[in-house]
Amino acid sequence: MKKDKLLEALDGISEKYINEAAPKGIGKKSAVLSKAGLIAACFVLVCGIALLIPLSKKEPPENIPSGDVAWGSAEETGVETETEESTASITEDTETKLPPVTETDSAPSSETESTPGTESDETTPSEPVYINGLPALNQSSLPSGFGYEGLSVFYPWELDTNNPWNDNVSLATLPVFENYVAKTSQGLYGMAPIFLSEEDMIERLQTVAEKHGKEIKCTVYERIGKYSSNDEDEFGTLEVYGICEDVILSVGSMGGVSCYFDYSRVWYEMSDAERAEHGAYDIKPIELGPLTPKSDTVTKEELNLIIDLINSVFPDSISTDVSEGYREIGYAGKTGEKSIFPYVYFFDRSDDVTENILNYNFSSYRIIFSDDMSRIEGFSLPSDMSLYTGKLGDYPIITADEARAYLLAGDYLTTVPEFEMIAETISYDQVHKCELVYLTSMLNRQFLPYYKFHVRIKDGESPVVNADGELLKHYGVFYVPAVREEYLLDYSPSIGIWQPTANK
Amino acid sequence: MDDRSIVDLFFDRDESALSETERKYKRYCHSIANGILGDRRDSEECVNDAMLGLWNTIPPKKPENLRTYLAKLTRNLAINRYKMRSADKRGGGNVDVSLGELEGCLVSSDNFEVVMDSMVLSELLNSFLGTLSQENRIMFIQKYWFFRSVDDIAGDLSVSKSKVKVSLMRTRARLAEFLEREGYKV
Repeated sequence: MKKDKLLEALDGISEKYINEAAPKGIGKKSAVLSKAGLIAACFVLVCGIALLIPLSKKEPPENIPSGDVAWGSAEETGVETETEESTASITEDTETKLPPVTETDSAPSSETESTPGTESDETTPSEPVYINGLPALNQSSLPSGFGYEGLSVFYPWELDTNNPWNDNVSLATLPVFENYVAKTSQGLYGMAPIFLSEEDMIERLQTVAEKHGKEIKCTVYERIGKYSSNDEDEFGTLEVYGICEDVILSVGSMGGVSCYFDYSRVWYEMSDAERAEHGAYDIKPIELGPLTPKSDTVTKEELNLIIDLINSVFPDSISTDVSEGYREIGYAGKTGEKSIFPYVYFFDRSDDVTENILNYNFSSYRIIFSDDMSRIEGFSLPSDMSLYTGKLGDYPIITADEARAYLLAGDYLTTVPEFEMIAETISYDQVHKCELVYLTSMLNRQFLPYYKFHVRIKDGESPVVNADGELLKHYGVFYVPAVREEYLLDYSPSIGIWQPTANK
Repeated sequence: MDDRSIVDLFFDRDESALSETERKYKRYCHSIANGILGDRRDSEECVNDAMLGLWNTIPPKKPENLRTYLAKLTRNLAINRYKMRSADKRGGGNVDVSLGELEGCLVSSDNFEVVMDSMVLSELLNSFLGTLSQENRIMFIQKYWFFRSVDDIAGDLSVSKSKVKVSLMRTRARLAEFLEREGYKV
């Protein structure tokens, strides 16, 4: 009887809380930020909670400039087949057969075979949903963790990155990739999900060493948590290091290759015997001297000189046809104290803008500096997308103006809590930056492009002003899918946690 | 189609109201029913009953929030079905396990039914929920209102299962303290 009373009492829980907690849906796989993503994103560490605010599928915003974005029912938008079961099935029945381990330097160009869409009105639960011949896409997830995604800066240009996309780039389509190794939960400490076996990692380490003329003298393992590919486990992570005579190589569980010029990464993982035998090689950071970067942006010329230095130690590791380097900066929201992270990111530059966008999002290099930027302590090669992704197809995308219209209409994904927003809806003058990015959280089943907006949010209780009298301004990050609405069958108020506009 | 238009269709006694509702909310309802019943066929029937329930109750009711109205309808139907189904085999399901957890932290008094009117308890629960962080509140409601498993909640919120378990455990402890402060001795 107590349970009956409890049931009655629970039935009286406020509708606003029920609506807020509504599950996203069966079979929906959410995601958190990968390790790389965590590094790339700056979070405003205030008392916000990272919850997903899904895009609601609703009436079209009235102020879409070009007016050609299709909204509405499946029939209206040319959906070939759509049933509840078939929509769910595309999140559940992904085969995860991995290609063989190979080292490549760029994003994959080969497309996976695309099965033509079915024409029947009836589909079985195992049949994927196709729209205009392309697989329907699921909703991506945003970073989870402390706080919400945002950035605090004094000046608008401090929001700049080396993103190759800009307002002048005109693209009709962009590729979407299937993630073969999507996982359902976050690894320990936000580490990347596991997919390479220990044997594959060692093989990869050997391949890289041989390619660059290095001999591995000793192999060291760094284990965190339980290394298991079982989806049900709370998986940990594993990094395998190869100690050579002048560098230390490493391979991560996602196949990422890094090179270090000091022992600090592995010293405590080495046994006494290993330290005695392999702990005194001539492995030391590269001194930069006058090449030490002085500003937040590292020009292509400066970068090329740095790359030459790296290549002198680790031959042919980085090409010199790269973008300019980008350093991450951030200000503590409450004190205004500046943080510059000792990394420089850049990517292989191409004449093709789509390839540049893919390289920026999926295949960036990272040089690791000492805190004072005077020494290079290591670098990471781009991850090899072909190891874990396959191209689903080129999807029609909306323009930035159209995306902005969706944003202003309240159709967005964000981790910014409502109480941090200046008003219930976003106004045009609150939008300070737009860029195009892929949400690359490794738990996503698909990697698709989004327009990422920095939107001015509340200043906080104690505004911070710099020596020039400039106010430290807080910006929250809001995403709008770049892929046209009709391909996003999983977007619906029915599976959202909270929709700011669904019930107006 | 937006919810208001769907409700208007119900008022017009237009049967497309049902197909529109199904198209938009069938998966959602199914996930609620399945969380309670754990059986696909039972859940399907429950969702069909919920659709019929909508047809029979709108009008006269005109829900402000169709989704939540439908969620409550589905949940109640699923719980009723669950009770009927498990009348001769108590325990073991999501509902029993979840309610057992909550019961354990709520009361120890033998005269619980006398002192704890469900309406009062609802009010207290709402007050308590207002004190929680959004994330903890969502976990609590997903577990004890939607009767979802820890695995599903973790997947839904992109957090680890252990985080969900720890959060629920702490929330239950806080709830016990809260009720005690409000005069309900544990």
